This record gives sequence, C-alpha cells and structure tokens, in this order.
Amino acid sequence: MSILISWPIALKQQIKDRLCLTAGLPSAHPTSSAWQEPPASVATTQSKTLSPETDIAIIGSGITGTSVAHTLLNHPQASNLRVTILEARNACSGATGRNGGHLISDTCGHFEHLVGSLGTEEAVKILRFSEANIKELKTLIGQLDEQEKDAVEFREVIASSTLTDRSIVDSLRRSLTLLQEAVNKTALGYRLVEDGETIHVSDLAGKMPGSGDRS
Amino acid sequence: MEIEANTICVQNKYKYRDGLVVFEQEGVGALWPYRLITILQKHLLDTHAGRFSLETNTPVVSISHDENVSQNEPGYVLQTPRGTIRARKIIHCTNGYSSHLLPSLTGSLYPLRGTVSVQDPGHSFPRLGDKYSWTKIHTGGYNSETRYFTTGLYYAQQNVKTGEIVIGGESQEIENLLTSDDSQVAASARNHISSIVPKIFLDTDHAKTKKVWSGIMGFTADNLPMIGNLSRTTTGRTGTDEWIAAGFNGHGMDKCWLSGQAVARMAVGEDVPSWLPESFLVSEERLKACTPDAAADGMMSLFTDESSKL
Repeated sequence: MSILISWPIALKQQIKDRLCLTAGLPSAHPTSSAWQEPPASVATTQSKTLSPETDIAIIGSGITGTSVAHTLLNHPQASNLRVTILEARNACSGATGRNGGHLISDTCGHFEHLVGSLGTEEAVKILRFSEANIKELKTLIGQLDEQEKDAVEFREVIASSTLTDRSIVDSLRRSLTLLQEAVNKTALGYRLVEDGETIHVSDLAGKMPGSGDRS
Repeated sequence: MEIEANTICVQNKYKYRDGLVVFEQEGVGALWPYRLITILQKHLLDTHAGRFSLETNTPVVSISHDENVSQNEPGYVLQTPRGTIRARKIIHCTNGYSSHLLPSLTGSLYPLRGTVSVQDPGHSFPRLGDKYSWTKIHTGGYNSETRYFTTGLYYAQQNVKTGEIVIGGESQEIENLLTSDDSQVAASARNHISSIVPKIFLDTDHAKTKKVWSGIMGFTADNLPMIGNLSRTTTGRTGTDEWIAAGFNGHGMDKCWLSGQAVARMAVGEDVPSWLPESFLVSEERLKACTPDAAADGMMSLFTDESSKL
C-alpha cells in the first residue's frame, strides 16, 4: 500500500500553513511600479512633526483610505473632525498603485455563484453596487481640471474577455440568463459574442422587455 | 480540449489569438489609478489643510486602547517611528496587510501577491487602447511537478500615448503567491508574465517586457469584502471604535470607493447605507466561518479541480 500522501491533501496543508502567517508591515523596499513614476507631488508628504492627537486615524492611503478621508472631510455633521491618514510607505503605494488600471465589474461573471450562495436579491445588490462604484469614479474624474484629466488618462472602453474553456463559457451563459431574469436593465452593457453560425447577444442595457423598472 | 478555429470577431477586432467566445462589457474604463487617487489626496490637503494630514512613511507599528481616558479624550494609541498619535476612531484601509494590526484576521483576510508588467507589443500590434481593454480567462490549475499555481486570469490595457501594454497574471509557487512581501517578483512569476503576450495576442511575436513588479492584494476566506465595525473580540482591544474596509479579492476598483464611503459614514454614526450589500458587513459570526480551512478550500477550487475530493 502506498504511504504517499496524495498531492491535493499536501497542497491544502501547505496553503493553510501559509494562510496562518500574519501579514507583516508593507515592505520598506518594494518593487518599483511603473504607475508610480514619476512620483506624485504628495508621494512623500508629511507634517513637520506628527500631531500627538487626531479624531479619526485612517490607516492606508490607497483608494479605500482616500475615499474614507474624502467622505469624512465633506460630511456635513463632521465639519470639525480632524482626520489623519497614516501610510506605511509612499502615498498610494499598495494595490491601488500596482494594479492593472481597469475600471470594470466582475459581478456578471460571478452572478451564478453569487445567486447560489447569497440569493438573487443580494446578487443584484452586489451588481448595483459595482455599477454605482464605476459611475461614481467616472463622476469624480469628470470633475478634474483638464490637466488632471490628461494625467489620469481615463478612457471609456469596451472591456473584452476571451474565454477558452467550454466550462467557463457555459457558466457565464448561465450567469447571463440568471441576470436577465433578475433585472430589467443594467447600467453597463453585457454581451456574449460567439463565433460560428450564430452570434449570441445578450445586451441588457435598456433593451429587455419587462413589467416596469425593477431597479 | 480543442480550441475552435477563430473567426473575424475574436481575432481581428481584439487581436486575441484564441477563444471560444468573447464577453464584452460596455461603459467601463481604463485609467491611471495612482494619479487619480494622489490628485484627490492633493485636493483634500489643499482644501482642508487645517484638519487633514497625510502622513506618508509613517507605519503604524502597534495599536493599544487606553480604557482610562475620559469620554472626551481620544483613547486609541498608535505607535509609529515618528512618535505616538492618539485617536478616537481608527479605520483600517490596509487591505492585504490588515492582519498585521488585527492578528485575529489571520487566515480570514490574507495577502496574495500579484504580478503586473509593462510590455512593448512591437510595431505590428495596432493602437487600440482608447477603445478596448482585454482579459483572458481559462481554467486555472496546479502543476504538481513544477508546483506552480496558474490562476488562468490575465488582464491588459494599452497606454494611448505610448502604445505599451500593461498586463498582469499569475503562475508561481504557493509560497510566492501567499505572501505580504512586494519587494520581490518570483522568477516563476516573472518568466510567466514575460512570455505570455504572444500567447494571448496576435501580431506580438516581438513583444518585449520593459518592467515587472509585484503588489499585494487582500483576499478573504469567503471572497467578499469586509466592511464595518470590529468587535472587541476581533480587535483584542478594549475599545469599540475600530472599523475596516478591506479584502477586495483582487478586484477593488469597482468596490473600494463606495466601501470607503460606507465605513466612513458608519463610523460617524450613520446607519449602514441601504445600498451596501449586507454580505460585505464584517461580524464575529461571519469571521467564525472564515477559517483558514475555508480559505484554503476557496483557493483550491479556484485553482484546481481537487477541492471536492477533500
């Protein structure tokens, strides 16, 4: 009888061992991300001395921390609050300063799974949340001056995905079907285009029949 | 598995080398996130200089809570190399690094290192960066000989001014994937991303990799973000005013801004916004289910077909 542990069990244990490691501070010598060149004017900004006290300490200066600060500083009931962002490294040097630079939704592709695990209502809520985020960022970009807009290089694009596995294609088809059944219209357009004799198009942006706006 | 012969739509329009179908999303974008966020930070500094500061290169080394302060005094004590700062409330926007200051999140919200590159696609590849962005998705896998995980996801955009492609994707060993250290790119990851462009796109046989870097994402055991108030059990501290918005599972740009808005509003006493998905709220009950075992199962099913056998 073989006494070798089959690789999936050994692999899962190796994964668990890695997962049980507590994260360290962000590395003091990170790899250089092209997005962060040239460095922004605020890249190494600091007060002359660290204030001994603040009202709200935000830890992290990526997109999330910046949104928290933005919300607090513009909040009508919080106009006296002192807000401090504490960032381990240079401004925005984490995932926001290292990613692929896309503003797209992943909810549609996951819709089947989300419906199965959370129910249709919550899956739709997640879709709306994702679409609303995209709209909000587009609005923020629209409020920048021309020089800033030029720097941000935002383009509205068609985000294409090529899928090479039938199982993934079938799952996406099921997700699209569930989405069509769940909502009347979506803020973004979602289309599946298949080569061959027929082109399957599921364009949900405002073209679906239905009994009124259920959004 | 055979890839069907390609036709006009898949090849000529998007320049993909292969695919059974193309999925299109309309109304979305490509941008330079670092510039957007640092511009917004500059605006906040210019507008609110009196009460807002951005302290870069000021790592929070530890947090403690002083129970004995009066109600009007800030009770949290944050230690940094530049000195101590006290605060009434703390909002953790630390994504993959969150367990450093919240050790009980270890295994529930974990760091995962991704790989991104800038590549010159060569003269034959057209300028399409103002119209399209690209993703390739195939079933991921684990190769027990090489020990590489391949996630099967590649994402690319093209700079309109330079024609350069920014493309990311993973194939590397588990100890290189599950780490919070972005000071390295594993040789496996670098080799993989450096050779992938001609495999995904047509007319890119002479593509040249200009730069490769890594970055730390924050994944959660249940693949949903974690937003909200942190209990004393979770923080291990006596205060009740620590909050979190983190764990975006490698897909944050369409979630982070409103997540930050939601947690900020909750932290100053508002109800949970009605538009925030309840499944994103953090709770002790939810964290109890977010075990390393559950996280490993999630990863296994993401990358292999073996999870159902375990």
